[in-house]
Amino acid sequence: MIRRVWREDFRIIGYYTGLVTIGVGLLMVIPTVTSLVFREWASALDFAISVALTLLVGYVLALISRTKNTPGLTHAMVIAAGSWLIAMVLSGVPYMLSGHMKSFLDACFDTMSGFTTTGLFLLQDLDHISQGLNMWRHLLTYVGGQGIVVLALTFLIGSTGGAFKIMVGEGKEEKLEPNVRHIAVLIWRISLIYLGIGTVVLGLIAMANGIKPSLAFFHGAYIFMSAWSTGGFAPYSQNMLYYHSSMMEIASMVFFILGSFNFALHYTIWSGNRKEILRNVEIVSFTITVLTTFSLVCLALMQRGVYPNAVALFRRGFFQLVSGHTTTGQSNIYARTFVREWGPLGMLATTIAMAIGASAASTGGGFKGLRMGIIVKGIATDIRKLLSPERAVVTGHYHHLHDNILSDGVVKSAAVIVVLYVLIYVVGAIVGTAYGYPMVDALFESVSAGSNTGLSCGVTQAGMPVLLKIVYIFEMWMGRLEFLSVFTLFGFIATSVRSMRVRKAAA
Amino acid sequence: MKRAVSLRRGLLGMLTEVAFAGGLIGVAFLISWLFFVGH
Amino acid sequence: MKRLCVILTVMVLAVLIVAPVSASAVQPPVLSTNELVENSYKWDGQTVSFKGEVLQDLMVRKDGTWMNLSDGNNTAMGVFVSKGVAMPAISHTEDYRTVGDVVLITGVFHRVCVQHEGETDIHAVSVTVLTPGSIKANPIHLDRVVWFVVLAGLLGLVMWLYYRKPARGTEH
Repeated sequence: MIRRVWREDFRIIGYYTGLVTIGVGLLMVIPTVTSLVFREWASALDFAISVALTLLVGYVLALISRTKNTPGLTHAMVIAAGSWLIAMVLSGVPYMLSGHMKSFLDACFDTMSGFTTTGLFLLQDLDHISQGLNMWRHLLTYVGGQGIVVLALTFLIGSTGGAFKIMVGEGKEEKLEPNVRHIAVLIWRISLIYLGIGTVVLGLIAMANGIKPSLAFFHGAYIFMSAWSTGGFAPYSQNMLYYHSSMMEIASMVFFILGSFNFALHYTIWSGNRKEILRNVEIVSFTITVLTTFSLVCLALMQRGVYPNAVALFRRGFFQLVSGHTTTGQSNIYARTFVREWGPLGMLATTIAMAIGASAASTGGGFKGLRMGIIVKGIATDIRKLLSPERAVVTGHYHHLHDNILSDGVVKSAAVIVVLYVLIYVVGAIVGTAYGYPMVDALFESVSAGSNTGLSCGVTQAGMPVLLKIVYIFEMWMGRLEFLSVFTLFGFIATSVRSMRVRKAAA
Repeated sequence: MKRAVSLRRGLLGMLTEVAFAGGLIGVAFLISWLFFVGH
Repeated sequence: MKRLCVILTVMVLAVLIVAPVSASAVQPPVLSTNELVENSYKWDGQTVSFKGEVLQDLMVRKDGTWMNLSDGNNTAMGVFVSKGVAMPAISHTEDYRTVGDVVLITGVFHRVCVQHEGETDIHAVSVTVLTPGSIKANPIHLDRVVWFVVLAGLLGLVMWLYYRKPARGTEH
């Protein structure tokens, strides 16, 4: 931990944040080209301006902070958190230029939602935006899922030591391979292969459903990026309802279930250890909690007689539930239908599913299946200890890639993070309820933000209270970075202020 | 030779994952069906 | 006098016969997506009217065509026009460069459509084009061109400064 902040610390943070910003600027070239391809000249110009501005900010930062030093752990955390904030602001420029945002805060909400793969949005008149802007929205979630930082790592940073620490700050700390550049390349390789397959599969389904070939593969790409990144955006306001296609929904479901898996698990399975999928604690936990919360949803829907047959119950009930549990947020019902038809129990079951969320080191959110599994096993081990004779040594185990010991430290770390997640869920719910939203709605939406899901029951609107927007932005940010980076950033700022006072006093 | 092995493993890995997702979806459908049968 | 009575009687009878007929030609209420979704149970199975702009993709399927009609800010409804129903030619669908035809439909609203596995939709029985679509202007603003040129220029300068110093800690 740094006790005092020196100028060199600012340089390191500034330099690497600058590099990440340059990465974001380069990314904006893609929607620029998209708009050019579709002859959306005004939109292309808006994006060109955004590219120039973002690259300018990035290069200026990198230029004034240029340094040879590599980041320490604290720096990395600050860079990770800080990069997200800068990226949030600069990525909002194309949104503002499009004229579809009511305020700059709304633009920040949407970009934070994109990068954190949440999927809630305040964009006005989604059904009339350019292809370029749609490409940008979906690209944000795809890249956000991979982590802006991993993007920068792959293309800009050569040194391994510093880069690994930035990724830990990002929340993806599985030990896959010793070389961190290798990890980043691996994550990208798996994601790009699925991107290719997914775009083709979904594009073909879109074509079969009556969409013109020239557009079908854009839909395929958008929906794949939305699904794999567990983001939940869709090109039109009706979300998956736009397509009126069960094939589209099922294919998307498969992709978002896979997208919610731990990247280390993908790597292990793709390397030949296929049995891992049945033994891994996260997958076991996920399967159990998905089927349990789904059964609760079915109970609620049957009680209220919402759907007339099993097919409708499955297609509407399961899609929403598993979209929620994987923290995707795609939907094939209207937002208000949750409130007007599903009712409190259905909403609560979905809320619990969202709260638990996906696997660790994945594109998903929530407090993660790994922690769920660890805590449940921890409780079971404690019970066994109580029931065993005093001299017996009881050790718990959990299987994640290999057998691991369930030490007190492991259980404690998991529990602390779960408490923090529950805290943000509850704070968001309190603020929502204080503004007059029904408690079930406020809790649903707050958990949706904090777990980076993006299912909405109608609370998220441009007209919602400013404080609530800010609260959700914080929830999305903290939830995605799993708290550590954000706390480090604030700690760093506090330490800087203190250091400056000390230096002033000494002078 | 090594390339072919890793390609094959990757492909089988992908199929395993997709099969798992498909299985989960199938079990969920079964559950919805059971809720209606029992009603 | 007698003839006048006969004529009056015939006129009254004519009005009484015609009146019920014209009453049934009254348009079912034009509802919005919000109204239909908020009160889905109330409108379930009812014949309603809906008006909206045809969104980009008209999806022709085996048994009919799907249209998505946009009737406001982030609200749109799926409308299914089965093969038997007369479908007028749609000249424009929504695009960045075009405004889509505004269409008025009348049909049965389903809260949870059995044919479509639980979708909230309207099965149209009549479709009319109210306002044909048109080309959108999307003008390029000169001040934005200026902004771009200025920013690009500054960027070029900064990049030149950044890349011209070889010795200073570059990690590429």
